[in-house]
Amino acid sequence: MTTGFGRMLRKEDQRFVRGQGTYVDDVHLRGMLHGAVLRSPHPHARILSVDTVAAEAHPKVKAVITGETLNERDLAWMPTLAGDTQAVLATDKVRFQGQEVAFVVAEDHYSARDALELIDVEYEPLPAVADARRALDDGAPLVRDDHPGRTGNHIFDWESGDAERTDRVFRDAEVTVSQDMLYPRVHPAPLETCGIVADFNRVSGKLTVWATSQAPHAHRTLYAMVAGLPEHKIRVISPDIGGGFGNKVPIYPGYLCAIVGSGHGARRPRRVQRRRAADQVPGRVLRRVHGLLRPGGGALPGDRGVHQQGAGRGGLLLLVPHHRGGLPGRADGRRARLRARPGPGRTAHAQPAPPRAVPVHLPDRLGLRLR
Amino acid sequence: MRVAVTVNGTEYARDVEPRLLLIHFLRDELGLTGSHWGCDTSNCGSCVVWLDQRPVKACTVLAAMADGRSVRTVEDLERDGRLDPVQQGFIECHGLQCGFCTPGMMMTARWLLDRNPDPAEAEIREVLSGQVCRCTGYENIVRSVRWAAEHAKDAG
Amino acid sequence: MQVPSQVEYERATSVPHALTLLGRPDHRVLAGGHSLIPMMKLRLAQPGVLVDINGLAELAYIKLDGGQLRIGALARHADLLDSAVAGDRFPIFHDAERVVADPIVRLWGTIGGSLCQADPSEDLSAVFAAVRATAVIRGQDGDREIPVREFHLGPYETVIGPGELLAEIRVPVPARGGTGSAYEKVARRVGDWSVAAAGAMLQLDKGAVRQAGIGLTAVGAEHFVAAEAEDFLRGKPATEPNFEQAAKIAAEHCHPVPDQRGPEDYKRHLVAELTTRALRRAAGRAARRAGAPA
Repeated sequence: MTTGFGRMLRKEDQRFVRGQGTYVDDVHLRGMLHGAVLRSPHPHARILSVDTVAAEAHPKVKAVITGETLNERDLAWMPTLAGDTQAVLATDKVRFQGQEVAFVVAEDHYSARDALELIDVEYEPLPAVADARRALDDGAPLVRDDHPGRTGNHIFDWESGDAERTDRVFRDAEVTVSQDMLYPRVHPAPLETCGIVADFNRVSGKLTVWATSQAPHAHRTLYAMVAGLPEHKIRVISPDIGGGFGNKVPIYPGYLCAIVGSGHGARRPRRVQRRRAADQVPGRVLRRVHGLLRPGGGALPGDRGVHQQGAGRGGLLLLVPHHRGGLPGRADGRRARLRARPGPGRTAHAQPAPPRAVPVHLPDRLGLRLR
Repeated sequence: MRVAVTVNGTEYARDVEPRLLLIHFLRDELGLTGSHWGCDTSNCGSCVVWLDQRPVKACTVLAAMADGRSVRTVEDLERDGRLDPVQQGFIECHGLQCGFCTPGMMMTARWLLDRNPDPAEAEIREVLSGQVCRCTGYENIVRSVRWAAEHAKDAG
Repeated sequence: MQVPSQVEYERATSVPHALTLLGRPDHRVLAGGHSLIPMMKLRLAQPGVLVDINGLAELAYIKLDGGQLRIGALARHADLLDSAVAGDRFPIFHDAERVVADPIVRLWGTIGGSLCQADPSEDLSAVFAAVRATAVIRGQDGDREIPVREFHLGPYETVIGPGELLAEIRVPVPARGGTGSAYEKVARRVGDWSVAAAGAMLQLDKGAVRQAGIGLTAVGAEHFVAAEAEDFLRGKPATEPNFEQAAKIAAEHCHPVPDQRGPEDYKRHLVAELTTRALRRAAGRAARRAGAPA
């Protein structure tokens, strides 16, 4: 690869062209177990019961973890990078299609997948809202009723740019044009899906994690909170990563399940590698664009949008004031919560690539009994 | 069931479940992790290897179907310490970034060049049209294959 | 995490052996596997025993034989795309194969497998309907022949019974020149299933349509055929207005379902437009071949 400064040699190509990269799914530890995540087919539903007896009886299954299990140890919800909370495994309700409901740990990943079918979840479907515009209607189904005092799906309003000057330009324009535009939801889709291998060493009390993470330091902070370990006892390794594009910044429940999910007894690392779900939820963002012609021509965009936000995230929004050709611009919008999967930082368009399965080690304090 | 497959010139026999996909036979049974598993829908091609001299999406065939046959993976491109021109081409022309799709791309490219040593750009694009790359935008992948065609005897 | 559920596996060593195995309960043909295995990974298909017939080389051929093009069921899509014997007489095969799946999948997917998968969006179902092919089904008591237009009973369902195997597809090669065929497809992206597609074969005689075959893909046309459009066109001059009218009739008589590939009106629009184009191109090819030996 040649740059203005001459040829720059990439070091990683030498191993990548030989098929000698180490991506998370390539990490193999002795005695490693494999996890799989059971996901909700419903966009909004009460969980009436989760029956794991048959799954636990599978000869290759070591543990089945549910939201209730985690709840007993205050681990069913985790903080997010946006100052919100996100369910690790659903407890009372599922709030988006594909939400994690249970986690299986098994001897191999085929058995883990088989065991998912042995978990019997009874759902009571509830009305769902998948349109950003409808999410703010009076009487729209409330997504985050776990937030105390919350009565609607509105998260926050935002504004950027110079409102006064923009309004003046619009007022003075000969012609203004207004148009509604619908953007489909977009989600980064790196070829390598999200994954984690977690290994807890009982002797040293140290947790080692290989994760597809674009933000290993942030991950470590959260893992420390969840695992109840000090940060210096946690090592997060971001090995070779098969693309991120923002997708691998957030901390997904699958990672937490892996960290939480093993049992005590022998040192058994866990792997979960997320598979690409065929059921990515489409969605739209409405932008009402006001264009106008100023005297002498030229268009000035103003942008008022209703942005949809995944059900689990508080809204990490990158604001880009519109300043084109020296003219003032403004953008504002409202963020509304939808029945949609939470996603990484891609300004209102995102749902996380569902992690397939990430083997994770459960720290001792969880005290889960494994067969 | 017992499956015996010759992989990169060596025969391996393993007891496996009939449902085991070839990609997992290679990765998990044989530890050949150079071929990757990227999608659930036979679209991405990061799993492409050769089965009996023809590229195949290894996630879409069973190991059982390879019983008694031969498989070639990316680990076999380098011979006696010399990189295949395709491998060198990808390095020279920045045909990879994250490297996840790369083994599959190279295996298909190698097959193409074995059949047509001087493919036009359109043919390169056509042959690789069943494989996905998220990083490069494909331009440099095509250049890499052209480089390999033009330097068929040079690389190493 | 998409991996198949448990299954048993047998490898057929001969066609009679395959037929014996397929006569047993819950035994299913495994050819290229590029329709079946993805369905197994999604656990939409959970056969008990797979009968691998990939070793039956006697079923893999494409040849001209006594006025018929004979395609062995195990011929791969790539074989059909590469076949001059097939493509010269029926350019529709090359038009279609170029837009079926992708080059690697075409190396493994078989013609027979695609027809037997009987997906409502299967391009070859419409193609073989357009050329009025016959399916040769082999059983332990011998062969039976079914017109491809009667081969499919519904989505994912064919007339093949237990202990039977699709062995061959036969396409009558028209005795004289003046025949042309073409396939036109719209898909959301390269290699995808059709949103809609149309295949046409025309036999022209002094500028009039002696015989027309129009196959439609992915729009719920009965047996993948635009029968009313064919009836309209037969005997009429091969002109653009007649093609458009036939295409309009085709669009009115199919049953497209709105789905993630598009709404109903869009699909009907595509049928009209693509049928017109397929007829136009088929007629152009027929004119160029007029008088040429078959």
